[in-house]
Amino acid sequence: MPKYLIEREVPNVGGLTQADWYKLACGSLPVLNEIGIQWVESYVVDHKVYCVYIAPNERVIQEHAQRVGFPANRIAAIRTVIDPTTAESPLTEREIEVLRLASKGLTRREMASRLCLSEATVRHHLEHIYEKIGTNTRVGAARYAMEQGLLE
Amino acid sequence: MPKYVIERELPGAGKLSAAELQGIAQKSCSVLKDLGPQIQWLHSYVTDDKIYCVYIAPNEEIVREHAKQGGFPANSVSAVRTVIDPVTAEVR
Repeated sequence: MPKYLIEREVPNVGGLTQADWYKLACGSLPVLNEIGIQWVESYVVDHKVYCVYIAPNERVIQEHAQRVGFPANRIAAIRTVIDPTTAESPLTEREIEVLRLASKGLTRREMASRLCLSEATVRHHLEHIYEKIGTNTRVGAARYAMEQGLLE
Repeated sequence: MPKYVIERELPGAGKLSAAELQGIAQKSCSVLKDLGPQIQWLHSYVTDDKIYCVYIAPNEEIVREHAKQGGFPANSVSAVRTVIDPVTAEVR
């Protein structure tokens, strides 16, 4: 199920107390449970609340908002979550080995024999590499390897 | 130190490849390194046209400085007053 980020615009919401939040959470949770939404967390700033939910679709998020009387000014599906580890290579050690050889122009058969793998396994690795780095050509993969300093 | 939520409007963000996201993360981390240890990037939610970032920082200025140096938009920067989750509804 996808995660969603919901923006709720509420003037001065940042001034609510923990007791207020307890009451609001107690009103909201049973409805969330009933319609099958998992509440991950919410960030409260001065005039807005950013909620992170796991939900089957956008419609049930609107339904929840209507039933509990919360505004839902913007509902957006979260495509991915990134953090400082995203700066590291998304490829596994094995995939990096395959990418290095692919960048040198070896055929799948040559790579398979060099790495003691079957050709099918090499093909799988290449598919994963292409998918992870968002290319569908050897040239694109080689350019990525060069830019990331994987060829030294 | 407060947490901040930063809204970055970036049309097409949801379609960025893993390599492009990696490039953005590398740029962000290198600026963070220069700005010193008091500003920390926790995580960012990438949606179709907007990225929502959560940072720990001493003030809003440094969050904006990071955006400026990294070439990232920062359409809004808001201090987090509290973070709530299902535990908030438990009897204390």
